[in-house]
Amino acid sequence: METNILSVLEHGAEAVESRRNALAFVGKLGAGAILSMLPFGLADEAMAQSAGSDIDILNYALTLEYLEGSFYNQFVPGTLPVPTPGPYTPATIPAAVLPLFQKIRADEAKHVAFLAGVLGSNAIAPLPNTAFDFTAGGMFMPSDYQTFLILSQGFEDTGVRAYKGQAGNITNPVYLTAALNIHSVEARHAAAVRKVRGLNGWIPGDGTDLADGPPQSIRPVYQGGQTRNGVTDPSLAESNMTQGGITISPTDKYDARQIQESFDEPLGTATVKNIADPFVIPDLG
Amino acid sequence: MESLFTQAGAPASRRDFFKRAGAGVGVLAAASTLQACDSTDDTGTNPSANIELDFSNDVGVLNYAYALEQLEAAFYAKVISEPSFTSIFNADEQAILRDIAAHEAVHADFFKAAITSAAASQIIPGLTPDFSEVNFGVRGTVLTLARTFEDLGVSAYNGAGKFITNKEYLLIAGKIVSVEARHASIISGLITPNAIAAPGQIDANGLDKANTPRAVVTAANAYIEETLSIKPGTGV
Repeated sequence: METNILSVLEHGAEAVESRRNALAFVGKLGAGAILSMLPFGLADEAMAQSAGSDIDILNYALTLEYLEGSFYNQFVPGTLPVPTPGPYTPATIPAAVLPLFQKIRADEAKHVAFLAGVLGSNAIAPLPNTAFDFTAGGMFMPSDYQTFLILSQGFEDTGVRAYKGQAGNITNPVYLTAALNIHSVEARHAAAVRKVRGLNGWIPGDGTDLADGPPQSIRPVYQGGQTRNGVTDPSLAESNMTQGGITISPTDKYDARQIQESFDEPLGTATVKNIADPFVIPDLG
Repeated sequence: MESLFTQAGAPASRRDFFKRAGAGVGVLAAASTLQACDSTDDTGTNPSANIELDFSNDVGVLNYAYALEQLEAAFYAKVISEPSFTSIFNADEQAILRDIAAHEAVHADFFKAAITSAAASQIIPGLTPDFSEVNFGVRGTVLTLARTFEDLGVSAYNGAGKFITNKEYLLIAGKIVSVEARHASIISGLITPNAIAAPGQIDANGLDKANTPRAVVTAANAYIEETLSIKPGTGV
């Protein structure tokens, strides 16, 4: 087992290093920020074939955690666990639910620290608040509480789907258990945020039930896999009712909506990158 | 006292032990204590009621999940069918618990179909739930036990993931565990506003706690007449 872990670590380090060399160009945010984006740029082709290394996957997760962490650090008021205040005005979050969002903010900061710690020298460079544009080019204004909630729900449910999409690709059992233990916490967050919005904690279908009309739609979070750079993510929409080849039909105990809610679906990297891209400077490659 | 269960041996003593541990303590807290008593508890168990889970193959892990889903499904089916259900829970809470009851029934039915399809000869029998110690007329009792079952389920799936060799099975477990986590979060919030888990369930790193199959079946055994066990020598 030790040999395997070492082998994985070495392989991962080499992969990261080679991408650094290949992509050592100057971008909008300078070399540091560009390097930070690399894990998200892991080859779609490779991921489609489930060939990403554990290090790549953990850095992919870390990138998502940086995004979530930065979002809550900037929009949830209160004493921050991070030293870098962002450019945004915090949302006006009602006192009744502020402890929930402060708890979520703390969890995301812990996930960042945990994953960065596990990865050690293989971790991507820290992503500062300036690496993110939470207005998505002016489409959202998350300082507005309702908009904040919509994005929070979208990020959390995307996180659940993104972790789920990688579980089967992780080879080290210790990493797998850790990833699963983060994955379920993201699901706890997602459910709680949905409840605050007056929705069920569980996902009833492909998102078309949501009243989040343009330009604030987060429906793609719940839909099937998208194509990016010519690579198609085969993930199914949250309305899927067939699991492992077994189609589940309504009975007197449950209806179609409840069947759809009973299973959360995964997302591959192509779709996750498409969803996250508008919020990341520069894009995720 | 408890004469109905005395002949069953182990289950009765487990229930007594759990009862003494206090209703608010929860199954998980009692699990480690119970484990220490396992060897003596098991002495009087009817071998025919022992259900051994073989973690050396994926079917064993699926059976493990099937057992837990049966327990959860039976619990919520009872919760929503109690006469007091509509008086101790408001309309929102009733809708939540009915949804969860439906989800757990879906999970149990799915595993039954999936294991029957994959290895019909190896599927475990239907379990006989025993909630005789639970007062279903008390809101706090029902919600606390619901949270315990949900957190137990989350910790069980998270802890069992590494034993699954087939990626498709692992993915399905992942599809289910996040729904269990959603349940756990919502139930926790009904008990304590803004809570998403029982105290101590999420560790200092912001990670859910995974549980070993042994700890989980020990906890689950308090609520079923059969005795779940882990086949020795399978590295679990």
